[in-house]
Amino acid sequence: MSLRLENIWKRYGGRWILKGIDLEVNESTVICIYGENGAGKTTLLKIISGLVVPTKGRVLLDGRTDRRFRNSVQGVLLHENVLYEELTVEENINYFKSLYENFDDRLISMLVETLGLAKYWKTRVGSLSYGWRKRANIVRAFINNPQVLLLDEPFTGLDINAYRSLLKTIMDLLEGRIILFTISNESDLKRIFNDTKGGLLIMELREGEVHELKL
Amino acid sequence: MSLSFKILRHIYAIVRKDLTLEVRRGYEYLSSLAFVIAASLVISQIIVKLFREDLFIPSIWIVIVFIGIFTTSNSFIREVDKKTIYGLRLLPIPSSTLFLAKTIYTYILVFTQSLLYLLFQMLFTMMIPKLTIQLVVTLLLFTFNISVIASFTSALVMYSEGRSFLIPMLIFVFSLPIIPFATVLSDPGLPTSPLDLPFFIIETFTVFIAFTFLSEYLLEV
Repeated sequence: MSLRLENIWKRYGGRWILKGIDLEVNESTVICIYGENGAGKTTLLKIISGLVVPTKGRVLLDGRTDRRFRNSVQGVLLHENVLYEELTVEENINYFKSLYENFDDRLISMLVETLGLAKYWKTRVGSLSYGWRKRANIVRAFINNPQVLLLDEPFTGLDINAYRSLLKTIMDLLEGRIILFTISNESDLKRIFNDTKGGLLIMELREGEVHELKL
Repeated sequence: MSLSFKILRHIYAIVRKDLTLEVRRGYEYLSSLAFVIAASLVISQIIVKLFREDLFIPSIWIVIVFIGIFTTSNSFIREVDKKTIYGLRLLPIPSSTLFLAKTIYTYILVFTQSLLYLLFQMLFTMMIPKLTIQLVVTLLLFTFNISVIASFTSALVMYSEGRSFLIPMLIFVFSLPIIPFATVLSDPGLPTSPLDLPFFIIETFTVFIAFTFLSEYLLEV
C-alpha cells in the first residue's frame, strides 16, 4: 500500500490553506502532522480521506483515486462524533460492521478491551462523556482493519492510560500499514516522540506547506 | 455473496438504523402524529361544515406533500446536522445505495403518516371513502413519488444555509406534475383517460431512476 499526495492546494474564503503539498508514504510508516490551530491539518486529513475536494492536486492510494476503494482500505477518526447518539456503542459498531466487508472482530475486541470501553458497551453514545465518545469513535475508525489510518488529534481528550493504550496500539499495528495523525500541542508532540523512541516521522504544517521537523 | 444481495443487505442495515433512531427520538414521531391529527381535524371541519365530501380524497394529496416537506429534514439533512454524514460518506458503498436506503426509510415514514391521516379523517368526518384498486395504487405511487422527491431534495440542500426556503420550493416544483394525476385517478367523478395510470406509473419510475442516477453525483461531493 502506498499513499501519494500530488501538489495539493486548498483555498477557503479567498485564503490558501494548503499550498502545493507533495508527499509519498509507503507502508509501515507512521507520520505525525504537527501544526498550530488553523494550520490546515484537519483540512489536509479530510482531503486525504476524500471528505474534502482539493482546489488543485490529487490523492492516490495505491495509484487509485476511486472513493469506494479508498473507503474500503482507510480508517478515519475525525474531531466530529460520527456515531449515532441514540444508539448504544454496541449497536453503532454492529451497524458499521454490517456495512464493511473486511471487518476484523479480533481487532475490535482487542481495542474495546485496551481502551476500557467494555463497561460502556451497552450505553448510548449520547450519554457518554467526550473522552469515552472519542474512544468509541477510535474503535469505529479501526472497524475495517484499515491499511491506512487517518487520525485527527486522536489523543485529545484522553486520560493518560487511554493515551498510552492508544499509542501502543498504533505502534503495534504499524506493520504493513500507513498511519497519519495530527497534533497541535508541542508538549504532546515531544511526549509522543519520546514515548515512541523517535519511531515516527514528524511533519510540520506551516503557512500551508509541509516541513520536516527534527526534534 | 452476489452484488444484489450485498446491496439489499446494506440498504436493510441503513433503513433499520434510521427507523431505530426515529423510534428513540420520541419527539420526532410525536410531532408527526400531532401534524397528522391537526391536519385531519382542520380539513374534516371544512368537509363536514361545507358538506364537501368530494374534498375527502383530494385533501390527502395536499397533506402528503406537506408530510414530504417535513420528512425531508429527517433524511440526509439530519445526518449533516448531527455530523454523522461523515460516517456515511466514509462507507465503501455506492452513493446510489445510500440514496435508495434513505428513500425507503422516507417512504415508510410518508406512507405510515398518510395512512394515519386517512384513519383520522375517517374518524373525524364519520365517512368511509370507496376503496378502489385505482385509489390504492395511486396512493402507493404518490407516496413513493413524494418519498423520492423528499430524499433527493434532502441530498440536494443538505449543506445549504437557505434550506428552510429551498425545501418547500423544491418539493412544490417537483410534486406539481404529479398532483393532477393523483387527483384525476382518485376521484371517480372526474373524467379519466385509460392512459392516466400508465403515464403516472411511467412518471414515477422515471423520477425514481433519474434521481437515483443524479444522487451518485450529489453525494460524491
